[in-house]
Amino acid sequence: MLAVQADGHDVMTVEGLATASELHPIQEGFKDEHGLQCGFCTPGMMITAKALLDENPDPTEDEIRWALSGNLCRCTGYQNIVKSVMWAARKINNQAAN
Amino acid sequence: MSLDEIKIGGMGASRRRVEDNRFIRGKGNYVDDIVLPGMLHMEILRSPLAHARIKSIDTSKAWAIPGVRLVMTGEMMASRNLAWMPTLSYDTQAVLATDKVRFQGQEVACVIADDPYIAKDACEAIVVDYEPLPVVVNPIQAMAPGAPLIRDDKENQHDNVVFDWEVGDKDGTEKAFAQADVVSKLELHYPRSHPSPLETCGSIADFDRATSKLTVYMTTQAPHIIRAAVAMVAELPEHMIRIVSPDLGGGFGNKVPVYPGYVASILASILLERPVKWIEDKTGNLISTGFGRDVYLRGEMALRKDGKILGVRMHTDSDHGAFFSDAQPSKFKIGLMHSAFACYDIPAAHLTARGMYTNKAPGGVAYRCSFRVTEAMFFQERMVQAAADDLGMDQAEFRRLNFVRDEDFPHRTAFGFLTDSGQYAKCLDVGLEAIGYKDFLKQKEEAKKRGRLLGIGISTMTEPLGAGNSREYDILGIKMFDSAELRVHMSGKAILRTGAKSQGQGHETTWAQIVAHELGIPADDITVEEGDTDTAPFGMGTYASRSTPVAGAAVAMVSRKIRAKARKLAAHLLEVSEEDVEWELGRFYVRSSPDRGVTIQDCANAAYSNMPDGLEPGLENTAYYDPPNLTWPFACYIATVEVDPETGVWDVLNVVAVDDCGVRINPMIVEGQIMGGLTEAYAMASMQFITFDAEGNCVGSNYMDYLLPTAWETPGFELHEVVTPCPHHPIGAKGIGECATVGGPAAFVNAVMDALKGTGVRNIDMPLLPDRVYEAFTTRRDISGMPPVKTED
Repeated sequence: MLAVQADGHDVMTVEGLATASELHPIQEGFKDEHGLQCGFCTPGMMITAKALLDENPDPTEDEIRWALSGNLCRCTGYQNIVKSVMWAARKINNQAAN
Repeated sequence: MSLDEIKIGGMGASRRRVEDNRFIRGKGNYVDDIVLPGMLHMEILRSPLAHARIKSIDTSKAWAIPGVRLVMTGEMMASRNLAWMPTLSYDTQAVLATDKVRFQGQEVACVIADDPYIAKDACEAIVVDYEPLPVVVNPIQAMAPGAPLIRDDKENQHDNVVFDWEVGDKDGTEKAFAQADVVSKLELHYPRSHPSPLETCGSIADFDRATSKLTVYMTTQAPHIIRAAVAMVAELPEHMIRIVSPDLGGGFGNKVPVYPGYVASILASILLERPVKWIEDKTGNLISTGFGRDVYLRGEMALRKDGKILGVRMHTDSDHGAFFSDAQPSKFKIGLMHSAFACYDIPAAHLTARGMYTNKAPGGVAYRCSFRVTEAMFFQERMVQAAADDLGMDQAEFRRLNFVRDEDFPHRTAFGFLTDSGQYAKCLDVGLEAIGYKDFLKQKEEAKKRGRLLGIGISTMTEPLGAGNSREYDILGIKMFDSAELRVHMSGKAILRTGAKSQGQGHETTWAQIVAHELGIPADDITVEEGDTDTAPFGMGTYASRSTPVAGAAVAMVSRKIRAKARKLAAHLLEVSEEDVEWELGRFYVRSSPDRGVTIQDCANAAYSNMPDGLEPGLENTAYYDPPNLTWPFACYIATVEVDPETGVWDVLNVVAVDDCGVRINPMIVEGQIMGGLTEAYAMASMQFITFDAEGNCVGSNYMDYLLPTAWETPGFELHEVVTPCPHHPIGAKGIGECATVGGPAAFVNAVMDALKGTGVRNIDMPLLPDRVYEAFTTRRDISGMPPVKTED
């Protein structure tokens, strides 16, 4: 995406995920499910997952894999990234239900 | 009374990673995150041609661009004796080209400017007049009579041969072949591939004239080797060089060598007396930095009718590119290729290996493997499957029949390695059970009747991980040991430093677990630091799955030294003699009175506040560990596939991995390593390769052309374990980081070949792109070599 395409939009980066006191469930999910190794792709993966979960709070494994397919990871083999996103979805949905 | 080891994050705990706390917040500190005051930026001009004489270089237009501080060429480097540098394999490599360029993407000139955009523009303003020369793009061309001489810079180099090397028992192997009922032959190519960590290479050189100290922040898996190399190349005193390897965005072997960009940024900083940052772009990384693989094999196996392997003969022709900069032990010219067939009981074997220069970027880095072990195990397992097919035997039974048996360890392999432990047949059984082998064979037969092509591929292997021992393993004469330093503070908290360097393996988490296991200090109380040569003890770094086997062992040994001193402090505190003190995790107690005890934290406090007369204060130590042998993990990978005969597309149905890496420090991290490795294995088998056209143009210089699997293509994996502790490692662990990359590819290829069994197709070289599979299936012919350049043409 080119910078001009973001004109008039809010831009959220990884730094915007956590609040001062709390991690975002996606961040917790990535840590709990070992969804990262070298960490270099992690901000992109997490923000992509955020966009997915904002649109689709209860995605299937295939939907997660498709949503993440624009991002590369060389360390994890993706399986744990998918599990991380599912972990986050569960937590967000549980929070909403309560 | 003893502590619960899992609760304190000791061995066997799937402890969540410490390093994640910064990465998930976007607070990783990679080299490009580092900004120094007054920092300038460097860009490299690369050769567009693969082989050409440099007639002239005109830099005047570049100098004229405002903001340009320095333009460097080979001529300028030569005037400082820096135009050439030594490689890790006793060859030389051009820093900036002087006489001619020898591969596309070779470094020709550098510009240092106020910002990276000016530097890039100025590079484009440099005019280089090239006289093109004939190009050599594979070892077969390189060997041909009358082939252009690539390394005319070297005295006594009259052809393109890098080395001719052999190992094994030639006569014994000939005898074995004379007695064979069947000789099974296979020719294979393991294609050139790039490790492609997501972070490219880069450096910030910061020379301080006032102190004469050079600090280099850089992407390196082996900071101490780099310090030694910089001392040698730049002729700076070693104590005035500080190499800092910050967070690395992956390495996979790509960040072991010394690259021209590092050297150029160092010289630029010395000349300009300002920090100089060089961050390689993706294309620069893909076309110029350490490739892996690119080996051709002629393999033969002597077989008895009943399935026993009598002997193995291998010949490899490897493509090393323009400079022999393989990162591997000095003694072995084709790495540990001769670890092939280590899991099989084979009476005789012989390997001849020839390495060739070509007009390609330097190759031969240990791409997520222990020095050519990936090629060795791929060749082995493809040959094993072909042999089983030639004999009409079941591929699992053929393996079982030839495995080294559990009771036969230690076992000397036909090529001379000493394997020491394993339960090979058990691992195979676990794998066959998990994949449902017998049922799948029935399904396959049923499917065949309906025109569907199912296949199952097995790959079993033990590989040598954790170089060295110092008797046989060195790089540039430096022996391959490693180290750990542990400082326990007054409160019992601690800092640990090692000579290894994590690139995602999670050392900050797992090293603390080893200390917790040995001392009972909770893992959360231990900070782990690596990568700064001014503070870390000397070590050879992280690659070839050597961290846990060597540095991890040093962590255990230094913890034991600390425990030995703590015992003296405990005896003093308990007012008994040392012999009367017993240890349980985290606590010393009086043997005759177990309720009387002191914790390791009490001992730490005493080391600074209440030591006995004659005992040196403090509680810190260093251990250098020289392993007695390599570690030998074993793995069984099984894949099932379905090939579409209409398109050649093959889908992975199931993948089962059974890994025996001995004792697991952190099961979660071990499994993460295996899944990552399996993905690279699938990538190699299915799509990931970089090829070159006849002019030496690199096809695969960006992520549009170089296919890496995404979450969408990558299959799921089912993991299983068997544990055979390493008999010589202090905590019984073996290497694991690379097993799946090494053993995995053959499982996928064997599965596709199994699906095509009976069609007359014996081999398709990787990558098994759909068009290659389709062509093989429809023409009933093997597909050899690298697409699109077929070397047999």
